Amino acid sequence: MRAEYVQHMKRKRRIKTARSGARYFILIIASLFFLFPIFWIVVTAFKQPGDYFQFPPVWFPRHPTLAHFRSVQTTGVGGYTALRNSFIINISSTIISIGLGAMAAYAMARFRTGGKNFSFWILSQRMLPPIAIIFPIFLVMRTFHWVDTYQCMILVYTAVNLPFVIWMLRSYFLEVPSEVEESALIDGCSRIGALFRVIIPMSTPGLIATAVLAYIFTWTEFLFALILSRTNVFTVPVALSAYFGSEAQFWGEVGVLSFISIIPVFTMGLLVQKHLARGLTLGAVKG
Amino acid sequence: MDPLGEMQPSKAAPAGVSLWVRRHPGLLLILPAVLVMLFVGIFPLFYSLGISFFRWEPKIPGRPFIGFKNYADLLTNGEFWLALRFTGLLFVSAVALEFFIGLGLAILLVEPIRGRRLFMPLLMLPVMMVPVVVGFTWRMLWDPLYGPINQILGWLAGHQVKISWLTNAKTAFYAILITEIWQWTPFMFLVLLAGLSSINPELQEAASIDGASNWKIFWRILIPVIRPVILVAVLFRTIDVIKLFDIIYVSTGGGPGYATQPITFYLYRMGARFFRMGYTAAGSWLLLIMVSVAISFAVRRVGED
Repeated sequence: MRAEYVQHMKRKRRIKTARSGARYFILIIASLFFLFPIFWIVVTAFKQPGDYFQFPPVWFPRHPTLAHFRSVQTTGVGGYTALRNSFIINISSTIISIGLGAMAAYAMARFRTGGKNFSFWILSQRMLPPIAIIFPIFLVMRTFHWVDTYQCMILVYTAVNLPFVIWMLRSYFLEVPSEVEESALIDGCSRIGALFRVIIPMSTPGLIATAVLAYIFTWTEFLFALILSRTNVFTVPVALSAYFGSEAQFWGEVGVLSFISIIPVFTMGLLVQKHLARGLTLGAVKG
Repeated sequence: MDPLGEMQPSKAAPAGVSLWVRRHPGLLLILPAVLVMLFVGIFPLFYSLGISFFRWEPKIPGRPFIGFKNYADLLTNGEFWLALRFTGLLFVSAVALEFFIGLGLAILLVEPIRGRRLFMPLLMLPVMMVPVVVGFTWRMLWDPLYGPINQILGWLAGHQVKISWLTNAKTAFYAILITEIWQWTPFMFLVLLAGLSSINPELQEAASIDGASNWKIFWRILIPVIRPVILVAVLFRTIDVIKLFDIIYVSTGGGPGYATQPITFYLYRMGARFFRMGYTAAGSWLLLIMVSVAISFAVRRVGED
């Protein structure tokens, strides 16, 4: 009896190790698949110009170079200028959309302003294919002589972010129990006071996550920036695309600009990774 | 509207506008956001509806009103349908594959596993990549001679492989499909993982005590419970596939021929390269109608949950 039992337990354990081994095997393969392209673009930034046209391809450059970190500004439209433009546009539009969005989200969460129809209207804004509005926006901006200006990009990106910000913040504000707010009001706080002293401090993690994700979404945006910028306010994706068509001499510069552009996004994204699933679905799925 | 507002004694009865504002403090709060969205979202949309009835092209003097001619031209244009077909095919295959791979990974990581804190960030990085960077990167990877994909395939095959992935109409579709899957499977994974983690483990235990097999538990319990989450994930993927533009712009440019031209890219070319404003506006309205018919149903469902 006892020997049989030991045998049984051993078999069970073996199945368990085999299963967990298979689990790790699949996870490692998947991680390699998702990591490899990122590895490749980062390595590209440090390769010598000759390394791009080597057969077989060079995986680890023997003489890594930093030359492209300098040439990225002198070739194409100017990589560091693009980084500065992107930074100015994204920071401004993130701050403005968080400000306006928090006000609207607070009204929707506490006063049920607009009701269900209004929240659906906002959701439908997020669903709008950008191609459907980009050319009319361009024509309007052209009559204002606003094409290729910061105010134009900031305004458009604020509008792009708003539906997302409002839905996210509304879902975070709704999580603050209304009793907490009511007791603050009874204690003599005004509505605005309650918003700043109770609601906002209690949903700070959500606010930060929303701001970071809004920043990431506009940082990666391409179509609006491509059509609405020329030589002044081109963003990083536009600067990158300028290398396209000039056939392959600029892989190092593309690598450097890509490398620099993904660092802030990865760092910030990983800091708010718990909120990522929620953010990508406008609060519909709570991570 | 505001029970607490009414409790406060009003010292002097304010008249007119200010009274109305006090009764509806919410309207004042949503006003700035609504104005921005009206100016950059709704107004352009109706402006484009107007434009779509005119012949607005650089070669043609004036902007004659032509009724539904632009729409008729689009519906009889082969390239338009080809672009819709590409977007549709890509949508079906990409979303199906992303769903199954994402679900598989989510199942592997929903139970506690050592190293989870390491795998999780790795599996979510692609979502945060700039799509233009993704396009460039995969263009390098697919390169017939200097790209590592053919090199790795060569190791597996035992002889040199020289597939020109992006310049052959058939392989270009698969190349774009894999690029798309690479970037967006992590999204499916994250959303499905969030759904699976929210399931009460007691539900599974109860079912397994009742003698249900793992297979049955999966199909009869887990999938129905996370169905709303699946719906949300597919909805968002639909919107993003329709937007597909950046990757194409820097990798195939829609080619070879029109083999990898998605609908957004087609409309972009008509508007930005040929400046056919009326035609492009009509095209985006056709797209909009198709999309909203497909999505409105799903949105209502999502909103109810």
